[in-house]
Amino acid sequence: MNRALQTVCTRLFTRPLLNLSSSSILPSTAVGINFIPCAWIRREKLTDQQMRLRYKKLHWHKFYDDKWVQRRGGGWDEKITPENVSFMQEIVYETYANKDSPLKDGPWQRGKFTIDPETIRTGVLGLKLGTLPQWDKRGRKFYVTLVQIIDNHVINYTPPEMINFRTLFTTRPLRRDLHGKVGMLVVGALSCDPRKFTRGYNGLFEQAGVPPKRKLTRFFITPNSAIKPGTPLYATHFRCGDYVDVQARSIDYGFQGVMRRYGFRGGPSDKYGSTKFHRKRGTIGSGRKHKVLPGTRMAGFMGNKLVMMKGLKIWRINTKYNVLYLMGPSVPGPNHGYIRIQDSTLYERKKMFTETNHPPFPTYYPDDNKSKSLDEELFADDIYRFDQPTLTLDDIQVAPLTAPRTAAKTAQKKK
Amino acid sequence: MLKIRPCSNIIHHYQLRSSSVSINRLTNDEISAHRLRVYAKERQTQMERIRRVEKIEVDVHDPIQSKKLLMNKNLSTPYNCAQHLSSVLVDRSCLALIDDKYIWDINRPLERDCTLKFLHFMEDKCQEQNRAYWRTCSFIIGYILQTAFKSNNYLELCSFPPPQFQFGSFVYDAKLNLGDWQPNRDDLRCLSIQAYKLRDLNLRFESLNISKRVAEEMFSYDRYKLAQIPHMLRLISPDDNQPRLTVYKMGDCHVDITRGPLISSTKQIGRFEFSAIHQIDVPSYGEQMQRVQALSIPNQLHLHYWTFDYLLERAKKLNRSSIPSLPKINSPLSKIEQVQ
Repeated sequence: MNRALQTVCTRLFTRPLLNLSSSSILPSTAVGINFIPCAWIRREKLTDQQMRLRYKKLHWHKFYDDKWVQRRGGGWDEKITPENVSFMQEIVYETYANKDSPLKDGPWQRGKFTIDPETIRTGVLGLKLGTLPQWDKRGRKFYVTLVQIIDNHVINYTPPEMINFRTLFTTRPLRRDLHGKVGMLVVGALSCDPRKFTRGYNGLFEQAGVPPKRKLTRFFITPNSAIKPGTPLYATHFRCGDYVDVQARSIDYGFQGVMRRYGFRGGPSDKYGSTKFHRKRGTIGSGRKHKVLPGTRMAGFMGNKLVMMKGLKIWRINTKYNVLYLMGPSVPGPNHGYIRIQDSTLYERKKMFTETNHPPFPTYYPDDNKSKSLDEELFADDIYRFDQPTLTLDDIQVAPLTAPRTAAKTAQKKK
Repeated sequence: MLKIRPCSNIIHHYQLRSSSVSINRLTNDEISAHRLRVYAKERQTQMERIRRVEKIEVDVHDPIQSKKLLMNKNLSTPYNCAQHLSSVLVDRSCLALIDDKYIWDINRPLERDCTLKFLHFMEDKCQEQNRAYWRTCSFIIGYILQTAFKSNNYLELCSFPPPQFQFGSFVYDAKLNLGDWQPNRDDLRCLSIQAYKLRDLNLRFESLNISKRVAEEMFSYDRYKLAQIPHMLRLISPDDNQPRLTVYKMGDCHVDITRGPLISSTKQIGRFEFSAIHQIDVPSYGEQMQRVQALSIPNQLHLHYWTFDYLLERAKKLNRSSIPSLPKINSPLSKIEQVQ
């Protein structure tokens, strides 16, 4: 069906006539025939501001789903003697100290990395720490954001058959060609005391045999990259020089005026005698139209929404503390905020992966190369390393600026 | 030989006694109803002995309020005193301290002028309250065993040992007559739910002192209790003509022999979970019985479920407190034989 024709017909709420070819159908003739309401299929996503306009709510963001289990519990003063308090703390450490997975069967079979049916690996949950400067080999300075992969464990895996697409992808749609082909992994970060949560929330982690986590996310993966619940994920899940997509909630600026929110120029200061026009919006109308156009930019809540940054390069990895050094100072979110990190979906970066050259698949297992332990710091090729010697000039011949004077020439001069 | 004979006399004695009253397929409910009837009758006769109402002065020392109250002798209880003061005291106090010396039940009538203090579970020194609470919970296990099973099962309650915290649970010994039934997790959970229902019913514990004759009439269908009665009487007051045995009643549901004080009402139960049922050998009665173990915490102590689950794991181990035994009786007959 001709795509233009399809959109034209849906705009008019008529069913497109199938037996006609892709010639022009004038809108005026279609009215009145076959008026059958069909679903309006939106192609582009509405922004938060447009959603707020539709539903007349100032705070559009909801941070949890009503169907989820109640998370926080405990935290009241139990009035236990101090010896009992320290005893219970020891018990909490002991229960999760050297726990093997309680599942009866052994490790899962590891999938193979394929290019033709594309492979999507897990992502990882990290915590934004801050920024630092780094230098490349040409001496140029750039900033990197440090992101720590804290206590990541895989909690749960659902195969593609068990996933209900209608309920899961209401706000952020998944690619059409992946429908029915992706499984879902739940990854948790930052282990915590089970006495801070309710029984229902703690029950989510019993199967994995892992202490309860403070933050959980979902990652949609192809079935060949499924990981057994209970396996830890490290920073070496990525390699230095790989490119990642980063997703986090941006800094909450609260209710902000139009100058900070949209970068309007505002008005002059009081020096030039301007009365009551310094940071205002100015006019909101447009001449003849007796209404304010929807989408007019005005003051309102700024920030605190999911933002994705694509194609950030990993310059450096610290394996001892599981820290990734990501390109750029502007990773979304405040310090100590949670970040989802996944392999980049940019076309040029996906092309770099081949059957032989791909990051650890399905994830990095430390038992694989027990013979050679990892260095504490791993560097990308382009980064400048301060601990290594700089350029040495042993093999280089430096040509002199002027040609040396020969004996014959000095003799000539003397003459 | 001398040791065995008095014991065998007793067993023979109560076996004869019990055969005179037919226990052929009597249900547990009928037996409890019989006990309650005898209790009610005895209570009424004791109440009729009070001819006139005398007044006593009770001095209540409480950190919140201190008052002097005029109460009725042998009629009003510390619970009534608390009702005069505040509902906080009514709800949270479990025992009363008379004259700073004697631990007193909250629902037991006061007999003379005294100073009164209310004890609750969240004090610094609560050894007595904890013991009373676990004693009450053992009592409640007895009630649940009587009522939770189907009526065609005939169940015989034996007794429970004094509460000891180092074993991690409180206990009731009984003969369940169920063969090799080992309860699984859901069965134990169902038993625990019965205890939670009691909490909503808010049943009060009342005590009564009865003589040997009335006790034997009350427990005429329980052979283990009948065997214990002479020993319990001797423990309290030796060689008395009319010895007094304390018997407690919970609401309108259950009557049992206990020595010590019990708490105010079932409303003060917090979490109550049955942990395990173990088999024990009881040589005194010559049979094998079951030891039903459970763990509980008062309502005032609000523990996180994770900590309680950890304590419950401990409570599943076999409780090593004393097995029900009939100690040696120093009867004049045996003394003569010794001399000889």
